Amino acid sequence: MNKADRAVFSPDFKSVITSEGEQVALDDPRVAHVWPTDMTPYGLEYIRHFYENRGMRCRVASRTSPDTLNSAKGLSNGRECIPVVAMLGEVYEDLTTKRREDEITIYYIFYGPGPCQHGGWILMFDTFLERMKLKNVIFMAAATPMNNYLGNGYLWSFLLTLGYAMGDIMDEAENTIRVLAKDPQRALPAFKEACGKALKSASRGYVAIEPALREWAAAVRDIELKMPLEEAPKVLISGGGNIFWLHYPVTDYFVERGIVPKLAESTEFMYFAERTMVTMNNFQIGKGPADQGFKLDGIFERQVGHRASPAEKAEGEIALDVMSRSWMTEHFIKWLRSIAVTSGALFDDTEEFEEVFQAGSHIINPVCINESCSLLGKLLTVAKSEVYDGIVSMRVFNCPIAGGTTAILSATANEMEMPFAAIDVEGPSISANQKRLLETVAVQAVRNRSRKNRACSGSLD
Amino acid sequence: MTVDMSKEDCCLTTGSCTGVEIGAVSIKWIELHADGSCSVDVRRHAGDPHSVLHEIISAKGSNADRHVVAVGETAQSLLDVAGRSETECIEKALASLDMRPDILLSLGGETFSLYTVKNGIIKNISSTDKCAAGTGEFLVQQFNRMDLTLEEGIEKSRSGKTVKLATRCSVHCKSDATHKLNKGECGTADIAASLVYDLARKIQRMIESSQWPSERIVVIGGVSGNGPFIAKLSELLGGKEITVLEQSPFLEAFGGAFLARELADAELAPPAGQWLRLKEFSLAFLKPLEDASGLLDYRVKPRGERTVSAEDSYILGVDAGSTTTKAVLYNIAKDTVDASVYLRTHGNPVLATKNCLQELLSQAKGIRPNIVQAGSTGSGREMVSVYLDGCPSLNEILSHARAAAKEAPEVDTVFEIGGQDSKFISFAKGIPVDYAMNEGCSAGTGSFLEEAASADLNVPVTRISDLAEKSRQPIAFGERCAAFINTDLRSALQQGGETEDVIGGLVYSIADNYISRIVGARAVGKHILFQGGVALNRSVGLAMAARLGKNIIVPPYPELMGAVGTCLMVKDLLDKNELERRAYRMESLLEGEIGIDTTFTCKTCDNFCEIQMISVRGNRFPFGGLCSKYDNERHKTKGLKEGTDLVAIRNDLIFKEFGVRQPVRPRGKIGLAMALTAYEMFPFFASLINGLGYELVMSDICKEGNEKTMATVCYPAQIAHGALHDLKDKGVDFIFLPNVVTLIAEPGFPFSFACGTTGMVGDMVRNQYKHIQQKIFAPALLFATPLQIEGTAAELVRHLSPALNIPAEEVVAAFHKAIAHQRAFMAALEQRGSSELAKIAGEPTVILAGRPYTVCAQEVNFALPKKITSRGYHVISADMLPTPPPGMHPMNTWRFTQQIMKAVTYAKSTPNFYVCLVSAYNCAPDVSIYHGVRQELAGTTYCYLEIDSHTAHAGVETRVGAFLDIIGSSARNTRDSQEGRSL
Ligand code: SF4
Ligand code: SF4
Repeated sequence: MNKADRAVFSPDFKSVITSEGEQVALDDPRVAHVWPTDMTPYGLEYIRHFYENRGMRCRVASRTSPDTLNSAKGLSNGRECIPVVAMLGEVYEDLTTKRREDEITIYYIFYGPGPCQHGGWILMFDTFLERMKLKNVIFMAAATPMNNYLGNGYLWSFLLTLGYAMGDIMDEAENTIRVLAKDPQRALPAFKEACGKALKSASRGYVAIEPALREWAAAVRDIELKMPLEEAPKVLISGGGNIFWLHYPVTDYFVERGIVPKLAESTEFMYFAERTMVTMNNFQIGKGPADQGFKLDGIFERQVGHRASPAEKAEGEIALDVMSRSWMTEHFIKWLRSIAVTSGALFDDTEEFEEVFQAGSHIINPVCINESCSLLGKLLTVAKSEVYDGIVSMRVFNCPIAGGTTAILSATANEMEMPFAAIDVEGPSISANQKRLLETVAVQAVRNRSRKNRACSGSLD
Repeated sequence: MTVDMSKEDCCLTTGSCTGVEIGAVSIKWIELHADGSCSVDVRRHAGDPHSVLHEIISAKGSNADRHVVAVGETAQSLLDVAGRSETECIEKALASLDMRPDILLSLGGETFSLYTVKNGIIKNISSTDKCAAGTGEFLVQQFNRMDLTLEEGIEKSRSGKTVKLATRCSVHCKSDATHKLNKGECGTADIAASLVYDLARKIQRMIESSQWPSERIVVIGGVSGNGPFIAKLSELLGGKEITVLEQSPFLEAFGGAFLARELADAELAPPAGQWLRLKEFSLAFLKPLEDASGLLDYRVKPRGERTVSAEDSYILGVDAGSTTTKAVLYNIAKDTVDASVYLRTHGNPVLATKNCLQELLSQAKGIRPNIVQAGSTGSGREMVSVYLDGCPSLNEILSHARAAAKEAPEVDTVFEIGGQDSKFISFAKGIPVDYAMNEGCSAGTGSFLEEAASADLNVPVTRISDLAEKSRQPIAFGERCAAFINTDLRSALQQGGETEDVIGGLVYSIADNYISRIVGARAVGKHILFQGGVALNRSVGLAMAARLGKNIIVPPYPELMGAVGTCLMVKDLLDKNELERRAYRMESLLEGEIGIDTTFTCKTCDNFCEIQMISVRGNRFPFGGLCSKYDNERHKTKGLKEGTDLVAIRNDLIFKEFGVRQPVRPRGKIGLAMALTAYEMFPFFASLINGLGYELVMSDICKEGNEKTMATVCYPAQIAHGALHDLKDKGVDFIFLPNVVTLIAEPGFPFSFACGTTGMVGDMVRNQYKHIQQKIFAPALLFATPLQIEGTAAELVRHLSPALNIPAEEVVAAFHKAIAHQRAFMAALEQRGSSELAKIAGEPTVILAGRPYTVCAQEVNFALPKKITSRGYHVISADMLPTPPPGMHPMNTWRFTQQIMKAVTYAKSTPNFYVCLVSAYNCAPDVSIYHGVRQELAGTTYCYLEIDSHTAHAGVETRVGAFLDIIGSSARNTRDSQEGRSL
């Protein structure tokens, strides 16, 4: 079987052309839209509703487990980065346990060129899937400006991003509830119900988002906390794209110890992936990262400038598109958070993505097109803010970027005296010794928070 | 033990306060008494802390004071008393002792941790726990193996001198030490001293990489009592204040006892009888091994009486491995093994071979076998071949592959587990294409099984299989380092585990270790042959089958496959008349010694290898070297003409023709890190630096600096660290270590990324060498499109102009000149490549596919080009091949993976061209194309090498040797078929 036997989108992306050459509409009951990417469960729930509201069948990834990674082993070689292995496992499970026989399945996996392994995901999937000899499957369907967001246009993709943003918000709130709810037994189901409801109605369209989120915030505000959220110790879990698949045991560890964990946001990750285009553009027109590298006006300058070739101008147009999207994303996320914060369950105030990026660029050049710059930026901004009391960086042995960045992160954390631990993981599980490392962060986080609390209350202790 | 704490302010009026900590090896029970004294009870728990705690608590009686603190997670899981973290307890202890260290080293049985401390408060922690090598328990084990207690070992180490020891793995360390002791190279005191030294070096590196002030260091944990270690560490750290406290072996528990003083009433412990939580059995069980019997085809036959016949002709096969030597007498007519022997090599393959011959003779029972040919294989094959009068010396992968293919023609994967060696061979359409062996770790080898079973369970190796197969619920130990498994076994036994279940679990564990550490990322096929001495244990085959869920065959003589395969290969050569029959007499082979007469340095190429002149039975032979030059001389390989080394031509072009043109009156010196993209962009760098009026100073190989990385990075990136380490002491004004994001693209390729690591390596290293940060230029360089090039010019102006005080226009001019120079080099390279390719068209040629900084750099390439040309093949690097035809995956975004795929495409379409892919362990881009390459090249002959800083020359030699042998035999086959001969 070769690639030609796979299903493909029609040129306008409005339908699928099956392996047999039949043209089938995207909302045909035979077509399933599958998101095997485990990036924020609430975000995925939004996506599922989003498709279902539009009359399409949709399945989303479940929580990554050692079993998920194991099921990928038949296809991968284990050296690939965790997201690939996890997604492959998810795809494999979906194919073997959920896919209907007559089904035309579209797997949505984002990809793009780039110096890290992400740039090669498509090569890997192509090879693996070639081996599986499947008919009527589309892999690596990724919405990009180059394909007009799979033919759905800008707004469609923007709405999906907002779904992820809501997912991030709900993840953060969930951790607050898990740690601080007076009656967690009752609070958590109530919280989940409120989230489900909000996601379902928000996914209907742009105008539905605000009322849904307001209703959600009101419901969450009704959940009684045992202490003010500001007084609770908090830690940030970061580590780049890997962490969405890996964080579970670390999150649970802190929750069990009364510390509110926060996972670096999926939208932040997406934002930086996109924003790189701006930095790259500005680099090309001679603007340095430290001063001009993040400014949006560079792109206009290039478009009206005379140096760019037509191809480069076309590239500039895409950059313009991405840029405006990322600008909108940042502003809309702020707007969403301004509504959601009334829930009393949100605490992260380091939402200025650009500020984060710029801070990191003083240590790592932002045109290296990897997450290092944002990871470092986050550390620096977090260390300055009073919100967090410790940071944990998770890295996997087969992500050299995470490895290299952690070295700088830990030295920087030492310099800033930010409680910090870096742990190497090979999947969503941690060892007894890694718990010792987390314990050190936990102890310091609690201590830092009580010091801050005392300072706030004016105690001179 | 009692410590006088009377100077401490103890608030208790009566009773005592207790702190309890449970480490991997021992329990520390500390009591602070009202009179200011402190009693210390430290006991090894041998994996059963629950019972030891029970003993201690029972002895306390019911009136024990209720101020008790359990320190850390383990103690809290066993004791129902107030709990405190290790961090808090350490801080409390430091405060009580008025200590303010910068760094606190906690060196325990199984883990080493480094705490950074400020004003008595712990700031951060880093730790190692992956491997036991160098931990306290490792030291205890190594001493025990020399029949020394810990105390005796430490004492001995005082008088020893340091020797080089393989301390990466406990089992290897033991055999290395045994070997050195047996050969009289050193004494136990030297071994002890070396172990202590290696430990101190490891800690020194940990301290360096913390980048934290380290003027005052406190050492705690069991290892703190090791005086010679502390002395060595002080020596290595020169001038730092290292303190070992009286309380160091139990500091956490000591701090816990202080915290116990402050417990509120609500936190006081219940009466002593209720302290101990119910014993929880934490054992997890696996499926009985027998459940996998349907998957195992176990063909081993009982070793009955075998007879050597006087009428039949035999081939003598010797497999001289690094740890064991195997020899067989193979009956040509009957296709049987009529005599065989398997014994330890003990570092001397010739002596081992002699002993084997003696044993074969005795098995022949007075009959003088008619040996018509002999063959040797294994790591000692060349030496054995010399000893056996120049018999064929055959590559071990091919020997194993030959025997495996005879046993199961469809085989696509071979697992081999020997005493201390493990191997993995993968075949694509019958041709061995991937090969791996254990390097430095014994966790997936037979000795792991044997030692663990005999040390703690008293089960001899012969009984392992029986017991394991009887187990109905083997205990799950998982993948485990050889030095730690004993603790697990003891713990399992103490938790009530049955011996057979423990053995069953151990057998699963070796399979897990093998699959995880040897097979690792490699592709396992559908037809697996399991061989090596360990395969005689049916239970291990069952465990492998159970773990993989795949069919596994164990051949009739699993331990002799290398020797049998050698005989089969020799037979093939005899059948094809490529080898003549001879008349070997075992008795005369036993005569004569082998010895080194003299040594000399080979000056044929830049590798300057040390060559030994070996004499045997009056003949002298040259021996050694990185390439095959002297093997050829010994084997008198007829008509062998050395191939063309196009890599050397390329290196001349890049480093000489397009190399440095130092200014007459330089403005100063700029050091260039000879790592990563410097092997591609050297003309650009040289022209830029010289064009700016600076003398260029190239870094030299710096192994010490390579080790200075603060994170796990690939080997080439380690070399970048080494380069900087070297340059910092070379008297240069500045160092150039750029972040190369993209490279000059080949026509038709939209992307030309370097990789995520090269794009940030300069920044990474700059942050590590903070004290010279201002001297390091780490601009971002992008070259893929004209606009990127313009941006790079501006970036260079930003970085260089102010620092060098050179006007921007001058920098830009030098930059554009340098770009032009680089392009001229690339054009010249392509042109040269084409003209050379025309000269060698149709002749066997190896394309070295990989990054220029792996295949063209002497530090990394293990003299591969020379090795290949000395075998008569031409060698070319992928970047000298013409631009590929369209059709490459448009999303192949990296320049060097594009070149790899170019090499693949070229080799597939060009007769007699073969790919040798050289990658670095953990190389992110290569991982992405690995499966694609395998798929594309399936059925052709190719070689895949993965290199890291621990890669040994022998391993590379074996792999490349097999690859070249296969090319040689297919070339012969082609020639034969052209000549109309049937094969
Ligand atoms: S590689 Fe070969 S030719 Fe070069 S020095 Fe070594 S033995 Fe001599
Ligand atoms: S391409 Fe591979 S070998 Fe080169 S720096 Fe990147 S990860 Fe290391």
